[in-house]
Amino acid sequence: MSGLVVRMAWRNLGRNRRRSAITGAAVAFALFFAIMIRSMQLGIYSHMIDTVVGGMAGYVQVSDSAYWPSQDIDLSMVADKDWLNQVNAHPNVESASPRLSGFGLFTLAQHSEVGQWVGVDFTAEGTDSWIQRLDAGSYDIPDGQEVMPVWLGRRMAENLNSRLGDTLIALGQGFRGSPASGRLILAGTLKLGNPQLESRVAILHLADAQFFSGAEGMWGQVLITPKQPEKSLALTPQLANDLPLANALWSSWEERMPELQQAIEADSAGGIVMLFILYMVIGFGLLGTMIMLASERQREFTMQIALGVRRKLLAQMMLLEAFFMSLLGVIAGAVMGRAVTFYFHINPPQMVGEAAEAMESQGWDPVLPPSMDLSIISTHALVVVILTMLVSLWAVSVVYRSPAIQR
Amino acid sequence: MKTLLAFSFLACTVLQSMGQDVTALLRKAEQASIQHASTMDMAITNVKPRYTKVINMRTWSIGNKHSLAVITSPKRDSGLTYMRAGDDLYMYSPRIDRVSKLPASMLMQGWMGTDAQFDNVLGQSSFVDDFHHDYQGKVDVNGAPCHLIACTPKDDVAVAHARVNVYVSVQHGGWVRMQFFNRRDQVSQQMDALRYGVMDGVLMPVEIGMTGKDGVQRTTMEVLQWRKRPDLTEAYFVPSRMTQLEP
Repeated sequence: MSGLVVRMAWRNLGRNRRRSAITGAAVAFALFFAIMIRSMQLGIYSHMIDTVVGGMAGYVQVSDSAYWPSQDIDLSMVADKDWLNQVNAHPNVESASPRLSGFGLFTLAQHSEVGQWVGVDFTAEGTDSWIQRLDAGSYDIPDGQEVMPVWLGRRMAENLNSRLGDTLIALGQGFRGSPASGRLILAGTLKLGNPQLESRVAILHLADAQFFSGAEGMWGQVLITPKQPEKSLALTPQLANDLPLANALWSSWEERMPELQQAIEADSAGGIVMLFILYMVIGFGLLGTMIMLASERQREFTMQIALGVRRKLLAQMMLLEAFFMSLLGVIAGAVMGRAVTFYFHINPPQMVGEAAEAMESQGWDPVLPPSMDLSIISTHALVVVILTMLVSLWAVSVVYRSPAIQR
Repeated sequence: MKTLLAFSFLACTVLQSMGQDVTALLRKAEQASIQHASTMDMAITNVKPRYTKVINMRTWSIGNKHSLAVITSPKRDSGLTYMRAGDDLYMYSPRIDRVSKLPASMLMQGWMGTDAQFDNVLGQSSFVDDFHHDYQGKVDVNGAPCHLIACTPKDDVAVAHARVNVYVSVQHGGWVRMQFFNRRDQVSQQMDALRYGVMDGVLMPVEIGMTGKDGVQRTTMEVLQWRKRPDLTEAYFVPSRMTQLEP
């Protein structure tokens, strides 16, 4: 392909600017809408996974083989710090931290709420993530006191009508038949991005939780966040093999919450159907402009062929023109899509009314943060470029069908 | 006609006297646990697949409606106190230094992870007063002949059992086995008197084995010491008492 063809293709774009702009705009809008639909969808999924899985349940979880599904505190596992250090040192592991949890009744004056208490090792989990979740109060309370600090989900704190510094009475089933009982001082409230969690979770220091339930030296489960959380399912058996622990059950969140995974897959398939319809509509629009372009330039092709320009050269030129137009459209569409998703990433749209209630009842905050994954742009840019090139085959066929002499 | 009347009269008398016999049998069988005000030291051993736990406790009781139980070991649970006063159920935990009132429905629930229920520890319903009785004949339990008495709760008595089979020893008149059936007619709990002994002049079961319906664990209650306490009155069983006991 000579430089001449490239130069001619580029200049041809400018010969009928309106026509080029329409084609480019069709490409740009196709990409823009594809990015918007997909970013929103994937963003909501990762928001769901982050809040439901990442925050509280863990991407990969290690527990006693009998622990699930009853989550009975009697089926906790013996704390093994050497093993935990090995897990943290594993190249595929971002962080690993033990938890201990159980159920209890939390009482303040006349108000009582049933909740799940969870003992958390704040230093092992990284204080940053917990500071982000803090709605009010602070973590700067020394542990090991007689009165244990507790951080309640903000809705639970509201339901108990409690204020920071209040002393709550907690009663529940402890380890091996002992009742769990203790006085807890409200040190803070938490926003967890999951209304159901916020109305039932009480966070304690791990050591306090062990003392509270009588399960000293025990862990309920160990939560592992891999360096690549999206590969949890494949990574789980590998980690179990690399870091053996007796009587342990390794599970990734997809295995523990198949309903969430299936809901995402079903919804994602629906989104792909929507995209297919979008591409069909845009594809026929592009085909329309391409037919218009080819028929407008039929005389030009005829004359050029009569002057001795080879049809192959003309066909190359048409393909290049289509490529340039789609490239300009892709750049414009990507810039627009990225700008709008970035704006919504900073200011996520908040759902209101019944839709918000429906989302809350399913367990997550009614916000729609779009995904900022660059692969969404590259994938759909490639799709629209291929679509444009396919459509431009019409113009190529016109080049080959044009007679050398206009009759 | 006269013969028929005479026969009916005879039948009624026999049935009535039989009914009295059954009540008398049950009264004798319950004697140790219900008829005397007493204090008792006991050990409850709970054997589960993963662990064995021994709980020592001391109880004070009058009849089957007033009792107080304080745990003396293990150390973690010591001082934990349960009390039943009439239809009210209380718990005191020294760690929160507070007396909590528990719902009466908890009487039928498992006590501290064992096969024992709250009412096994804090006084059972009286078979004599709270149940209708039906004599079912003699059967052998563990090689010893026993009277089998089927008991169904009276309408106004709040118990979760649909019926109870009580096996009373022909030889010594004490109960040997109790089978508690739930509303699906499955055995929800079985108690066996494993050993009888004389405590303070009263013959009583001093070792009781219990099994739940799933049978994965075993619980044994052993009476270590039992003493009559005629000085105890119902006024002893007040919530403030729970905070004053030494474990």
